[in-house]
This record gives sequence, C-alpha cells and structure tokens, in this order.
Amino acid sequence: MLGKGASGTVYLALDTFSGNDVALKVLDQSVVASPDFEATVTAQFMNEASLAGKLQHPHIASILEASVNRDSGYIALEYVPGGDLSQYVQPGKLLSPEQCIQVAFKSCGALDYAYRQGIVHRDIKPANIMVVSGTNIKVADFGAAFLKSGTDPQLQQDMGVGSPYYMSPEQVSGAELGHQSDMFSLGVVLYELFTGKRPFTADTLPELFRKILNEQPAPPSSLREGVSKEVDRILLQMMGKQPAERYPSWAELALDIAKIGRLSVYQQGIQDSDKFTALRKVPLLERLNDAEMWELVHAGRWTRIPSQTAVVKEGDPGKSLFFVASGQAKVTKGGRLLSLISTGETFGEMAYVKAGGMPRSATVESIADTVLAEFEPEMLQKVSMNCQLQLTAALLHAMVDRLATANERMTRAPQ
Amino acid sequence: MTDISARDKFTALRKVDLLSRLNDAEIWELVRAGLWTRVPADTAVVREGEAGKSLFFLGSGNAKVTKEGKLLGSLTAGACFGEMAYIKAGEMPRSATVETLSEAVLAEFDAETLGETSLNCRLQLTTALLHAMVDRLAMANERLAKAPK
Repeated sequence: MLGKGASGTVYLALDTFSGNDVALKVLDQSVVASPDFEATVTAQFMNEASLAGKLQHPHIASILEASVNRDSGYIALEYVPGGDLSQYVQPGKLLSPEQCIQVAFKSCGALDYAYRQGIVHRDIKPANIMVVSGTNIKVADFGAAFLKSGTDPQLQQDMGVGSPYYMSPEQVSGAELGHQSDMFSLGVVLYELFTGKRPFTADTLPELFRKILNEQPAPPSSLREGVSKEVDRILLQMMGKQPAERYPSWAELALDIAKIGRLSVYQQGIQDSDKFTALRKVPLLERLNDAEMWELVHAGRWTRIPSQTAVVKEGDPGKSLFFVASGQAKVTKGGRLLSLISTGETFGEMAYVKAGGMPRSATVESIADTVLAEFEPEMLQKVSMNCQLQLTAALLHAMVDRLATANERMTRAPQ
Repeated sequence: MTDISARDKFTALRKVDLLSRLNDAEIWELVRAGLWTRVPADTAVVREGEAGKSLFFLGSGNAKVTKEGKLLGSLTAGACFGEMAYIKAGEMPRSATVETLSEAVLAEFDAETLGETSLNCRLQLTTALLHAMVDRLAMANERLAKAPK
C-alpha cells in the first residue's frame, strides 16, 4: 500500500503486461456505491479520465487506465517513486528558494499543457505533486476531482474529502472553476513550499473560508530569509481574490517565474527553467511542443563557456549539433569571417546529420560568455520518436531553405 | 490504377536508394499510402514554377529534368523528385520540369497521405530526406566555394 486518499486506497502494483510498476488507486466501495455516484457522474468521470489519459507531458503522471462501474472502480497511474511535495513543507525540510522556483516553473508548464487540452485540475495540493527526484516533479490525479462529491466544500470536509486549505475563493463560494482556480491553489502550495507555512489557517472551516475570501496573506519574504520580494509579488498575484487579478495565462506566469530563476543571486549551474526558455527561443525548434522541448532539455549537454573558446574547428571530425542558449559566437572559414551566431541560433547541423561522416565545414568561436546546448546523435536516439521526428523535420526544413539559397546563388554564378 | 500489383509497387520502392534505411514493413506502408499511376511517354509530371507539394518516386521508366528549357539530367527507375516542394509543403514552387521519356510508373506522396503512416515510417523517411538534402547542400557549397568570385 502506498497511501490512503480521499476516494480510495493506492497500491503499488505490477503491470504484468508491460512489466512496469504502477500506482493502482482502488476506489472505495462507498464512493462508487454512493447515491451521488449516478450514471451521469460515472460517464463524466470516464470522460474526464479518458481526456486526462491523453495527457503526455514530462511533468504529469500519466493515467494508464481507468474503469468505474457501480460495484468497483480503479485508476492505474504512472508510479512516481520519490513521494510527493508534502515532505518538503515541514520546517527544517524546506527546499532552497532556487529549487522552489524550479518546482513552480515545472508545475506551471504541466498545468498550462493540461489546460490547453481542456483540463482543469481542481485539486492542486502538495500531495498531488509527485517527486521523481530533485526538482523533477509530476503533477498527478488529473481528472480524479470528479470523484469528490460535488462542489459543496462543507460536504467535502465532512466526508474528509480533499483539503480545504488549497481552495480558491471561487471554489469556496461554489462558483465555476477555471485554470485561474488551479493557479490560486498552486499559489497556496508554493507559498507553503517557500515558507513552510500555509497562507490561510484557522481552527474552524468557516473561519478558514472567511480568510480565503477576504484576507491577504503575509508576504512570503517576511516568513523566511532568502525569499525575494519578486517571489512575494508572484505568489500574491497568483492568490488574487478575483481570477482577473491573477495571471491571465499559465504561460505569462511561467515567464515571470523563469525570470526570477535567472536573476537569482545563488544560481550556480544552468537551471532547467533557463534551459527550457532558451530552447523555446530557438526558431528551428518552434514546431516542437512543450513535452518534446522538455525531452531536449534533459537530453542535451549544457555548458557555459568563456569568450574566445573554439567550439568546433573547421576540418575536425564532429557529430554534435549546437544551440546557442545565450551569448554570441563567430563563424570563420579559412580565417575569413562568415557570420555571427547569437542566442537562439543553431550550428553544426550537417556534421550532426552525417553522424561524423562529414568534417566540420567552419570554425565557431565564442565572442562572449556563452551557454551552449549540445546534442549528439546517440543522445537524441533516446528521446521519444515524436521528438526525433519533429527535430528531424525541423532540420530538414532548414536544410532545404539553405539548399534553395545555394541553388539560387549557383544559377547566378558565372558558369 | 489497378494494373500495378502490390508486389510490383513493393519491388519498385525497395529499389529506391533514398529508402534503403526503411525496413520492409515501412516500405509496405508506403506502398499503401502512395498514389500510383501509369503515365505515357512525354507527360510533364511537374512543371517549373508551378505550385506543388507532392514527392514522387519513379517506379519504372525514364524521365528528363529541364530548367528553362535546358536539360539538367535524366531520371531512371528508383529516382526520387519533387522533394523540396514536398518538404516546404507547397511554399516553394517546383524548381524544374520533369517529363517522362517512356511509359512510366509513378508513386506520389503528400504530407496528408504520409501522415497516416506510422511514426517509425515517417521518421525514417524524414531522416532519409534529411541525409539526401545535406549531401546535396554539401555539394552545392563545394561548387560555390570553387566558383570564381
């Protein structure tokens, strides 16, 4: 047994077909047999679960299978071994502010992706954000909110269902929930993650709801040293009382979070959020979706190099493909300057495609502090086929454009 | 056309150099995805400057490639043409005219019909085209480097 949740018991199970460990949530008899659990609810649940089952994202725990009828029900979920975020909300066990920013950024990306597929989570809380390792998280339990009895929070609490601490004002007042309701709940989760304290606490439920509806929480920076005013600004905006006061979209929120990640004074290595936003800026990769982009973030070799470092040398063997995440480099051939490469640009494509069968045709040397993402053919063979196809198609387009230009120059050149 | 057997289509595509990295199962997918036609001699299949987004393989027969009336080369069974317009999905006009010199069998593919093939098949075909384009680009760059400035 892995745990007991609001609507059922979760077991670690072996999928004998695939050989993988799965988290099997067996719904309580009382949930499926309850009078509330009418055929329409079952249909809604199955509908929602099948929608959620289509979610394929590196930061979402996939639903593998779901089945519900009057007698029994279960949901098979991707098993994530590292527990959930609730282990990091205790004083003394808090993550560093930098790690919190990474968790925030990844959660945002997952919820943005789900929302664009038409899914609102409705039950964001620390226990629903699973940890793979480090700041690598997976948002879980999409679609499961339907198993909670209706929208009456009082009823939910009486039944011990769900946690009221993470409810948005609109959820408390029984109004329609949208992506900005999830944003509020994530704001509460992050507040707790950054400070170890909940923004709204009370001894009674009515008191708690009153605070959620009316009270401004203390700025997180007043509760923990090292938390910046920028974090205050973002979290408090996420927890705006009206949805309109929050960020209009997950993408805008993610951008703001990435910005504070980058400005962080404690930053040592290259943060995942920086890697992701850097690759998002590469025109060649614009056809890749977020899930594919995350695959590249993890597949690549990321390095920070000083100015005047030769990355590839004309005539040398080589097979990796490079993206300039930040900085600038110059391209020379036979000592002659051919062009400058800056942020978002790509080089080394031809040698990469021919997997070392073709020497580097020019020299590329940094002319500023530069961050590079490097990919070898072997590294990219490990990413999903979809990701490989998108990248290959993108390179193919770029090569054809270049070939068309070369052909045009040849027609114009004296024969 | 019904008079081209599946076996002949398979054999024709299996002979295409560009498709050598595809396994038999993937070739069979292409056999089914393609639009197969038999055309008489002296038929213009694509015309320079015209819009177009399909990729062709010459299953049998011969064809010539001309640009502004000038002969650029000839194509034999197993040849592939129309790649660039196919890759750019119609954004780029046909760069040359291809006209059959004999009766010929053609397999035609566009993004929609290929979209129905497996991910594996598409990845292999895209990779094969990428290799061909890089080889051609390397050749073009070499010629440009040698050309009088």
